[in-house]
Amino acid sequence: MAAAVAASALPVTFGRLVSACSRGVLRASGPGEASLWSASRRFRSQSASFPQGYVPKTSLSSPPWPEVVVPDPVEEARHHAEVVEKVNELIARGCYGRLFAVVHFASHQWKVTSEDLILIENKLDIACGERIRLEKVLLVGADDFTLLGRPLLRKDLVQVEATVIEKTESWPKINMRFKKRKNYKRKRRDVWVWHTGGAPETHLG
Amino acid sequence: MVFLTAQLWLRNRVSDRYWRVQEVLKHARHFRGRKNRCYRLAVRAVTRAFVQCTRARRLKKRNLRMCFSFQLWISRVTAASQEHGLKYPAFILNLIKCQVELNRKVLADLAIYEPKTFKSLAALAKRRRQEGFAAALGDGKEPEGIFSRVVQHL
Repeated sequence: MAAAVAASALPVTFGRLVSACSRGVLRASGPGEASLWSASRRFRSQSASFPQGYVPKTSLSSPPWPEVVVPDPVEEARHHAEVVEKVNELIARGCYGRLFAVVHFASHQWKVTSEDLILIENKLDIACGERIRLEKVLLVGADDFTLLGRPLLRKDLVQVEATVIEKTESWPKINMRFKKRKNYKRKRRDVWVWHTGGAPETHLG
Repeated sequence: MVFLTAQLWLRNRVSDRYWRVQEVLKHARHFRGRKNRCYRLAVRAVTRAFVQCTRARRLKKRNLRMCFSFQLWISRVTAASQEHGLKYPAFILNLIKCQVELNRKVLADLAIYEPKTFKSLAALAKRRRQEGFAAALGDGKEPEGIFSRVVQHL
């Protein structure tokens, strides 16, 4: 819109300049004045008038990006409804093969399939062998379709379940602080818990 | 009467010096030179090693996350989006505008292992970009209170 205004400002100024010049030129010539003026008038009436909202082509008259054609909304809505119906049919029939999911867990995003293992460097209050449902699912995909969440998918759409396979301790990490010549030395031995979980199942529907 | 002889006999003497020394030397066994054998030199080397290890653990998160893997993921996503005719900043920005909160690690994995899904994400970003351009242009009408005239001149 700013571009259109700027573009429309230019011809106005140009027009004013040109009209001033032409007035000056016409005034300079004596007897030929009327003929020139009438001639120009005649030419003007014969020329095709510009359409409404016409903006002459300048560097600012059109946006710098190529012109985009947005498809017809009604047709698009129909097409979308068709696609959704097909996907629902596939899900209802259950013929999707192997599913993968992108899950947000323990402040990381994991791309997870069945028979996958995840290592979580965190303390979770879960016993070994317990089954967990991972609720924050961002994306679910199969071979033929993908379900994208904005940002998360609904809980009744997908269920991703995992089992805690192993709960081990990490190797002892030594935390040492030392300042030279100040007799300051602190040493601490940190051991934390690593959980290894397997994600056996992703269910749809 | 106070007997002081017993207290003078009973002093705190170190009896497990060997094991205390071994505790330090065991961390220095793979060092170079006399620092792997002599306690006095080993103590200094081992302290420095522990302090550097602590510092490096914090820096590793920073470097690995921000510099190495992050750049790697970004280049992978850039390459994949270029294959679909989009630039990386446009791709990421339009995905965020569509409220799809996938991080770069996952996007890189999808680009490698799930090409169809990545293609649909690229198409989504492209469409959102076009809608953004259309919204920026507006109706094509001029705002209120502004008029412009195209002067007809030859």
